[in-house]
Amino acid sequence: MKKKPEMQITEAELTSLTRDLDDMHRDTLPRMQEAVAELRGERGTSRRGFLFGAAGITAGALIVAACGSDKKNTTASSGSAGSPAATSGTSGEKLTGDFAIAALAASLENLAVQTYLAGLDAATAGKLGSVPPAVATFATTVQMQHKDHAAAWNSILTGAGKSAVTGVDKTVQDAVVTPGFANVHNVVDLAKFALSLEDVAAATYLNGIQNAIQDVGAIKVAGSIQPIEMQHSAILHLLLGDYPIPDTFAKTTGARGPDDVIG
Amino acid sequence: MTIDQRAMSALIEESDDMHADSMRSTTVGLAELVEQGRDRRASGAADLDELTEYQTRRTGLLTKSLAGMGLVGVGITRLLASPASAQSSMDVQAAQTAASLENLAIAVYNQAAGLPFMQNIPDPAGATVVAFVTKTVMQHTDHMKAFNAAATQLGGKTQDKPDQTVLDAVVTPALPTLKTPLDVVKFAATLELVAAETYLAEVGAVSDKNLRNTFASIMGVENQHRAILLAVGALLEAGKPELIKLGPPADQLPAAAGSVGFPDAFLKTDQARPAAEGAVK
Repeated sequence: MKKKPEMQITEAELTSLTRDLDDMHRDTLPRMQEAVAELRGERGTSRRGFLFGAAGITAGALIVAACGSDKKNTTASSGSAGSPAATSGTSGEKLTGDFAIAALAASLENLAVQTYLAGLDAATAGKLGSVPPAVATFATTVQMQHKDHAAAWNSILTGAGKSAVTGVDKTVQDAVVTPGFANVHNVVDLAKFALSLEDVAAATYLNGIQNAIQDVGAIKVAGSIQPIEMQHSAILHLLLGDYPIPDTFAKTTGARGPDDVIG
Repeated sequence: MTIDQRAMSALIEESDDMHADSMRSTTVGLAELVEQGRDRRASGAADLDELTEYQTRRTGLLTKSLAGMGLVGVGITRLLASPASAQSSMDVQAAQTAASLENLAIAVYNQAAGLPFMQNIPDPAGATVVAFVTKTVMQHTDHMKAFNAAATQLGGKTQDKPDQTVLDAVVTPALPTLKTPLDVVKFAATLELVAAETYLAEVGAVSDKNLRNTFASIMGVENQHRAILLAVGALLEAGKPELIKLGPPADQLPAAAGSVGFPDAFLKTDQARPAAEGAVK
């Protein structure tokens, strides 16, 4: 008889842990939103002097105007990072410039949260074999940090009167996550898969800072998150037996762009 | 299904604590970003009073932080020569200060690697630490060169000296007190944090795009150094140096090892050094 995979965390305990962490988030989110709103309030006064979302009235607007909404739903791997094109949130509203980047970032964070939770669910269901406590802690903590990141970006959006992004980056989900997760059969597979997502997130933030985001407050938010994604990546490399800091300079390879579909 | 209830309870408790700490840090971190944004916004030129106040505040924070680690004591003088100080445009000064922090990191790693107790760490930890130090020094050297290249492209001079303020206030007092590998790891992690936070602060402050891109491409790498140092430190503290290796057996790792490398959801700037602190005189 085939031995049932060991799981060192029960479903009830995992649910309880997640619920507790969710409660903590709800407690702290308003303060974080206030802080982000303050960041947004810097617009027009920074050294770089850009308005948040100003790309929507500059060159970006022209690109946006040139991008029909039907075009956005066509490609699954068209992450042309850096172009200030439009994107759609779950409300369907058109976002431009930095707001499009914020929406993209939120959708990637939501996708990461969803994926880590799926990994934890699979672990709880015994589908990944034995799951060491350190791996469970990693997945639980990282998904909460991604949730924090999504909340930060959504605070920017809602503070500007836009809708929060509750959907995920469908382009990445369809092209990468769905087929990739089907091949996750153990914690090593999960770690490799998570690493790819962390690297995409870090690259997207770096690309945003270097090439796309105009507002200094948004740059700071991206800058405060990108190094955390890179920490996630380093620990995953270490667990997988790779050198944990393979690159002397962070890269933008694999960065996603605002033409990704959000849904 | 095999369940270790005690381990699970400990995991939940640790995870809750970490998250609570993290969210407190998040709030403080974002508030700090806001505060710094207010301080540093508007004109590109540095206001001397602002700079002085900023430097004083940051120096105090760093010193206080390290004092909290019990890192006090005598000094070393062999790492350096003349200090770096301020001049020229803010961007040039920021690039030079970054180079001075890289020079400091290189000196500290090299100094620490030569300590007897660092050379006698049993394998596999010993070999892992040596490999890490070697690679990290190389990476900091490349970072230093990148910042100096940016400084010269902006018309400034290269900075070949360490950040004298940090050296005098932090490193010199601390080095003689480093008695164990854990001491060294914690100290190095703090220096990496200072570098990462300084670069984050400059990402939002400098006006030159190339320099901003350089800061952005390096801050995350310093934060990765810190993550690994924190993980190694946790294993040393747990009395499990045998797990310090690439690809440690995950089932033997303490639960906390899964998250100790990234204690905060957002990188802060409360330990960032002033932009002009390490500028060439």
